[in-house]
Amino acid sequence: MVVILGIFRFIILTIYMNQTINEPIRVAGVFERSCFKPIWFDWNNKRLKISKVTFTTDYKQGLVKHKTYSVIAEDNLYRLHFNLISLDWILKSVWLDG
Amino acid sequence: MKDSKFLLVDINSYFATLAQQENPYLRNKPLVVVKDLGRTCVIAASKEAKKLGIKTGSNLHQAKQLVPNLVVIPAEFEMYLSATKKLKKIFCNISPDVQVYSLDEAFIDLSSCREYLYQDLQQLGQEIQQQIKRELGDWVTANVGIGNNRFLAKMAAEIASKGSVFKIDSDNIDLILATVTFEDVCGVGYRLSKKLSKLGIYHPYQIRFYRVEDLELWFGSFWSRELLKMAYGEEPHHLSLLNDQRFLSQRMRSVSRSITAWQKITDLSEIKRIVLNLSREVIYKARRMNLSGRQVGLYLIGGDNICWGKHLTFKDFINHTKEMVQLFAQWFDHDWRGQFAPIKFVVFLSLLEPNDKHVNSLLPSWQKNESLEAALDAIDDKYGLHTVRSGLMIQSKAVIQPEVTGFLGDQDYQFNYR
Repeated sequence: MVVILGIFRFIILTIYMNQTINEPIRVAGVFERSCFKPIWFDWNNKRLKISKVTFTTDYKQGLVKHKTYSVIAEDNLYRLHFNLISLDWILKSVWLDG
Repeated sequence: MKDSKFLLVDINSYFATLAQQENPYLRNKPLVVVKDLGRTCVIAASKEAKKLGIKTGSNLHQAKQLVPNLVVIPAEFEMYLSATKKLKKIFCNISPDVQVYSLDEAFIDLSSCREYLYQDLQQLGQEIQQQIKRELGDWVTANVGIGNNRFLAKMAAEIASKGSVFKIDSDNIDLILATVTFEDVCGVGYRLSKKLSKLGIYHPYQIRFYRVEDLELWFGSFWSRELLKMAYGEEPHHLSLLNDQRFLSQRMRSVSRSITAWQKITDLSEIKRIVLNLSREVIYKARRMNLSGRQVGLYLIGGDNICWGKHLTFKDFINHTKEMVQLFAQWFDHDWRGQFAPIKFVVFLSLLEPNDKHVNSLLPSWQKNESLEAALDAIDDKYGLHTVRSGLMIQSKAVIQPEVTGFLGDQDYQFNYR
């Protein structure tokens, strides 16, 4: 019983989280007032239209600059990761809502 | 009161607010941030969680009992630092004198530009709030405190209602000092506040009625002076240091790194691996800033606050991971001897001086270490810290990566050398 309760509590605590995906994706967007704004991305043979960019995070790993776009597409939150040196786009994670 | 004016901008529930800004599905929900999933200390709580009685520093288990539908998310330090850098840009466009006080707070000193640029500070405060929303998102709110010094600006921000601008001036200062509790007074910690309340002192204004001799007897000469300054709304020592250009222009005096492990570590090799990991980060940061230190220290903390630590001051400067780790290895063999299973590890290098202020050793062994460290730096500079690591760390469960702290003690490194 104690073990079951412990597992149940663990599930409750971790149910809200980003599911790591780490898959290369195709992204299209526009430059607006010197900022890039993603419009859609292709993932799993599906084109997902971005309705809102909720946040951008800039960071460096060594000399390489990275930018993460947190976007809402079809009612899900995705993190699109852009490497400013290699110009690669990666779908970093998708939000799983309990 | 002097004419100089200060603003303190404090982002409301920073970590949690940024999480809610990024993820609209978390808005209006009681939410707490922990360092990592599985950790039990709440490092930030959302406005909604705070309303339900959850404070920063609460135990997660107790918080869950209080609010069963509590959302728990792991911290995203890169996101917080990125947002702080954006905030700093906003503030630096307002005045050349900006001091980032912590990840979510900054003082803007308008002394040198107010007369010409900003007639109405209340309006300026509201404009800053709007700029923050434009830059970080419309969910992000900030308190702006205005005062004739940093102490009053900070107090104004503390007592302002969420997302508002509040000013302390000669009209309301006495009333505020007589009603504010020490919880909202910058510089008064938990213990001092407790001691004051035991004496029936709950508000700074009350201190004015005590004799200096009595205050000195109870709090010592330093704190009696500090408390008296606060009683009259003057800047205490730690905030007035921010005014001192000599202090501001000073480089970092020490670099430290601490980590709390998931559990107590009994295996000596694992303890050594963690210390090696932290040592490399400390040395890397010092070297990025072109600094070397003469004092090296290591502290291990176990359960029930049991602590073991040692530090040594040398004549020569240290800026090689190998030297540092070899020293710690000696301490482990001769002094430590597995006294307890540590859970918290602290490594530091202090008494730092710029590398051009001292002469490097000409000994071949030192030169060899320097070549090795320089090669490591070159790779880590390009690809990120710990890209190349000692073979001793191969068996580590996970490499401990650098992270920022809420109080941003290493802001010189984070803003200028990273």
